[in-house]
Amino acid sequence: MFKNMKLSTKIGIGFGVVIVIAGVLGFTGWQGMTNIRDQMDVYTQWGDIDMVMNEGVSQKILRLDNAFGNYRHTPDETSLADLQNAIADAQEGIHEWSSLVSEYSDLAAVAAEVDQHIEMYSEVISQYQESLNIQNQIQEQWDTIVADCLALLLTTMENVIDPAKEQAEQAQDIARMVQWGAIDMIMNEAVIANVLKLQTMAHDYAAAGSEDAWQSFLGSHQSAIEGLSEWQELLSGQSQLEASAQQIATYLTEYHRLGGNFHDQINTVGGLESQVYESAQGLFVKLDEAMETVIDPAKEEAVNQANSTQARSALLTSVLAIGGVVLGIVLAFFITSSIVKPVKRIIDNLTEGADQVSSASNQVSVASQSLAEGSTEQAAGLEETSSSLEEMSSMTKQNADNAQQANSLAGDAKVAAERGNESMARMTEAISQIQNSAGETAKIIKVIDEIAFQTNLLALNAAVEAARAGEAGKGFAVVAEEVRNLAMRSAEAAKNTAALIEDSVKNSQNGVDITSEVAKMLEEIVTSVGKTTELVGEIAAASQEQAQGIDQVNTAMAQMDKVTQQNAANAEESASAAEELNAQAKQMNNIVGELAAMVGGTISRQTGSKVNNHPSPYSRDLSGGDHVYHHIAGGKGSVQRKTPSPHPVTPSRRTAESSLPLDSDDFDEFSG
Amino acid sequence: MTETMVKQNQEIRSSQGKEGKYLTFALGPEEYGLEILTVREIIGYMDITAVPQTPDYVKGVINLRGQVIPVVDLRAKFGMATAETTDQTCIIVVEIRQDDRRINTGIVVDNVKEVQDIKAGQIEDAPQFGADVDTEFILGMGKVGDTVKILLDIDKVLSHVDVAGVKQKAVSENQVRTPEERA
Repeated sequence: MFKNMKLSTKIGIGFGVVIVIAGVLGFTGWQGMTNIRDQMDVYTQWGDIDMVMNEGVSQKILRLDNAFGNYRHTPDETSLADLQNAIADAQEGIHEWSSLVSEYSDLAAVAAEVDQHIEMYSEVISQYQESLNIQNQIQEQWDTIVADCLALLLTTMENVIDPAKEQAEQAQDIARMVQWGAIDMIMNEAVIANVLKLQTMAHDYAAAGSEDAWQSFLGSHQSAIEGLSEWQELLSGQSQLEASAQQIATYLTEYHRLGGNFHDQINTVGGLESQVYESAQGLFVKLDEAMETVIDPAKEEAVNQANSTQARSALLTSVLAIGGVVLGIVLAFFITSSIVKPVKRIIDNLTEGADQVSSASNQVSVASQSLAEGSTEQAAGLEETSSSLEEMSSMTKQNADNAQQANSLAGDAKVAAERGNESMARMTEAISQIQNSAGETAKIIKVIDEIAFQTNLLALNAAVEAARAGEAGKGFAVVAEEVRNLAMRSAEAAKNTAALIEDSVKNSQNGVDITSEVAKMLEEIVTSVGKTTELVGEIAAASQEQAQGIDQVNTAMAQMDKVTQQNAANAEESASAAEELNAQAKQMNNIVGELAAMVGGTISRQTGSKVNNHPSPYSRDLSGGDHVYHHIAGGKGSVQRKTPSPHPVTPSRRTAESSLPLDSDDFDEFSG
Repeated sequence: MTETMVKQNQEIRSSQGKEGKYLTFALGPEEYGLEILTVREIIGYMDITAVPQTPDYVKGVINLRGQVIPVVDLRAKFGMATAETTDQTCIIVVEIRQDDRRINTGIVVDNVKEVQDIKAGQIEDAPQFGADVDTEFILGMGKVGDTVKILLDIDKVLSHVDVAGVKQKAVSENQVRTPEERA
């Protein structure tokens, strides 16, 4: 069944199977790749999640912390802007991440916490800002208090102490002088110095915000209060100074209160900070947890799945590929053999066909040559026929004349035949008379014969008697012998005569028969002459028609001449066609050889050389044949030979010339 | 040598006894010869009166000038096919001896040839074909020219024919008519 399939079907089946295998392979590979890609997508997704978590979340939170630290350290506009940028950045990062992890609830919870944490920053910042404002206010109040306090002390010094000291000097009141001097000195050393120190401590605390600074602040506040109370002890009785001291005490109390507020603020801020840090720490822990518990296993699983899928796909693909290769090889072998075998057979047939075509073309060539010779002979025959026709034409005219003469002669013959008939009747009569005489003569002869016989017997008896007589009868015996001889002679003569008479009778009988036949013939002659007359008339008419026919034959001859020339031309064409055919057969052989080489490498073929051997005698024959056509064509000049013969004198040419003993003059004469 | 010569001489002597005139006749293509002295007369063929209770070769009797003569068909006697009677057919009347009686008997032959002189040198003895073949009736073979004529001993040819009996029968039954009566 497979053998009988079409070539296209076979190749189609082969390619179809290969395509199916390739398709299955491709599909399997594609599916494996798709699976791996899906796994890789999952892996990539997890990688994205990981990366975004690292870059967009952890690092940003770290940066946020840093920015927060910076801000807390130097809470100016730039750091605030940085911080806010960091917050926005972190929010962006967490939004990106949360969009990535929205389908994983664990991570989404983490993301929500992170988001919350970042939100917390804003709140912390606002609280922090508020606290800072409060701190600034407190510091300003601190400064105003200190300034007021110093201003009060300065006015007190200028308005009270300095005039009192001058009065004491002027008055040379030493006691007073010492009193005012102590007041001044204590005021300078214990009050102003401590206030300034307190201010410094306050600034330090504001700057450091630490508990040590806070304790130093409290200590310097205590020493300021102690210095003030020391100064107040000196001021007893001095109402103005006491009021100032009272005022300063109030200031100090205020200052302390503000310091407490500040401390509260610092504590609040510290609480916030620690909250933020704790939150951040918790976040990092959670992120690490998420990383460890969710992302890394997911990534690992994705990689494992990808690996297993890849291994499965690779196994399936390789099995399919090996199966496909084996099947393909088997199919290729079968299809190739099933194609190559018939093609080889076809090549063999083609080769044979080409050889046959080659030999056929040779035969055609030979046939063309013989056709040419035939044309030549035909031309000669045509010439002969033409001259014969001329003769026939003249003979036809003569026929007509002769027919006329024959007509008159037929009349004469009729008369003569009738006369002959009469003579015949008389002759018959004479012959019968002769017969009668002969019969009578025969009777006489018979009598003579009998007599001779009797005489013979007598002579014999006499001889017998003579013998009996012995010596006495000797003479008688001689006589008897003589008599017997006479009798014998007479019998002989009678026999001869009888034979003659018999002949004569027979001849007369023949004469009678012949006479009757002649009479019959004469009658036939008479009727024949009548018919002859009719026929002669018909002959005359026929001669006329014959003349016309000969004219027609003449035109036909001209046509035949044309046809002969055409035949010659055709023979030439046929010869060249045969050559062409041979060349094509050669070409076909080459093509078949190429095909054979294509199909089966090299095929042992001796036919190519066989074909190549042909043309030389063949072309020589052609040239000889060509020459014949040239001669024929030369007669009319209608067909021109295109190329001169390459062999000036060859045996075949001599044959051709001898086979065509005509030249152009002959043809001119013929056609004219 | 001498014996052969003696034998030859004897032959010659016996042949010399046969030398003489012979009347030759023909039966078909063969020619036969009869010793002239045995011949009485030669007559043309005439009507033969058949005699009953006689062998085939006995044709009957004729009346020759008042004498009844038995006639034997020599062809039949020789076992040859019978021939038609022609103008040439003759009856030869021969004189035979039977029991020291001389009897005239006619024999029918196809035609009579001539009276011929045959010398002793021309005559040879009858050939011997063996014991079964009886050639006693042959006198000898006469060589004339290229032909051979069989010379018959007519007595022996007709030795077993009871010609006298035939004659007697014919006479006693009175069926033999005289020529006058026939005419």
